[in-house]
Amino acid sequence: MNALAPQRLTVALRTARGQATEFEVRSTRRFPVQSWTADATATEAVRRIGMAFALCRGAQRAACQAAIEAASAVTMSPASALERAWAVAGELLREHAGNLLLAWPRIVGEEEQPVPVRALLASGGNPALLQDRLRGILAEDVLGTDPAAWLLQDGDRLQAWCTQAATATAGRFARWRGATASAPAVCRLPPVARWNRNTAEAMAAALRADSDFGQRPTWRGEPAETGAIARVGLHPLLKAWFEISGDDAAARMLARLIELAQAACAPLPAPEAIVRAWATGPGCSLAAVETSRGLLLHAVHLVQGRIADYRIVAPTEWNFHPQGMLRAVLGAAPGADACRAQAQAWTLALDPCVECDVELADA
Amino acid sequence: MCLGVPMRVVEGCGWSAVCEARGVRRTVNLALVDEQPVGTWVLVVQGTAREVLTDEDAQRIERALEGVEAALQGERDLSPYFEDLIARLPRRREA
Repeated sequence: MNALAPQRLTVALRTARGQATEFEVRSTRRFPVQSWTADATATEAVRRIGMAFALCRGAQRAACQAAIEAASAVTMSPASALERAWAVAGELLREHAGNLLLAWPRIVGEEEQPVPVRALLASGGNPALLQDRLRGILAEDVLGTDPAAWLLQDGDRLQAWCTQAATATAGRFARWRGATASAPAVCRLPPVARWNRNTAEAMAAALRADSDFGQRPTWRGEPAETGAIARVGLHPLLKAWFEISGDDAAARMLARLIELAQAACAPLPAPEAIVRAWATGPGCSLAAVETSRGLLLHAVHLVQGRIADYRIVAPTEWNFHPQGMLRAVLGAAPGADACRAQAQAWTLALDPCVECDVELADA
Repeated sequence: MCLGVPMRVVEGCGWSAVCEARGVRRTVNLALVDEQPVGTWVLVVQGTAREVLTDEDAQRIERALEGVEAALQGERDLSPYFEDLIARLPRRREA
């Protein structure tokens, strides 16, 4: 692999007489985390991990730090833990904004909105500034109303918000209402806020048992979805959307918008809702960090303070599992054109952290 | 993983620029970093420039990417790719 060539996912679907016959997810995503971190000290490991990742650098560094602390039986001070969690949360919110205001208009041929995304990027690690800017951006550019009031809408008002299309975002929800395929009954990873030691130990055991787990992770033996919808799937607005439009690609976009609105008008989340880690054996640990795309896992084994083993499971591998939800969603789409449209919508909704191509072959 | 690639602006036009790295050129979206003069280094992920880089940062990241490539090809001693880091940290005493 040429590290300077863009890493890519390819969703390949073959159809015959309008029906899907083959489905494949191909990936050139390969990161040699074992050799990258081998024999590194804690400080070196955090630095090396931070050097390797661009989109989710904060979350990757936080996961590395938290995993090493847990493996070393070291506890970060509450103030430092809060600062770290907020850095991760800020990165999550900025990535949500990028998906909703840049990537979404781009794929539907509408005008991107980089100015509010840049404003959020410029807020840096200051949570109060980020929250303040987010409130203004949502009210003026995205929702067209106060985010607290928007969150309290019922189904009828949510539909009206879409239909009136006072903002470009509302208009996109209106056009995607009922337009994308619904997911089958899908297993979702529990958000880290609901994990306990048993959850962590079960996940760590699954990682140890399967050398391929980092590429094809499963939860209780099944592919599972992770992301904003796994965190806010019970929110009344999402329940209303499920009735209006189904458990569809737009629901995943709405979940991101709900999290942005909540962050704009709610108290700062507790650190353990964002970054957690558990010791899972002598010198061993598992860290779980919430990111825009879903749960990021780092599993570490330290020997004499140096890395002896290191595993990473990224949210993209959960959401693009070859036997996962995407297979069922695209397999049910009638005809090549419908497949292509659904594939584009769902890859946006699941938001891989690398460029993603859709290949369709109609026999 | 989500590796970013340092690329240098060789031709700009508003929020779209032609950027180059290792002799390969591609069109990059500059919406997140605004227009940048020719010669500027930017970190590109998914076809979008995510941040402006100093020459030093660009070289450091490029070196790290070379290290990733080396690791993928089976090279075990990656210390040459982290020389700036290793130079600043206490060395491990050999047994």
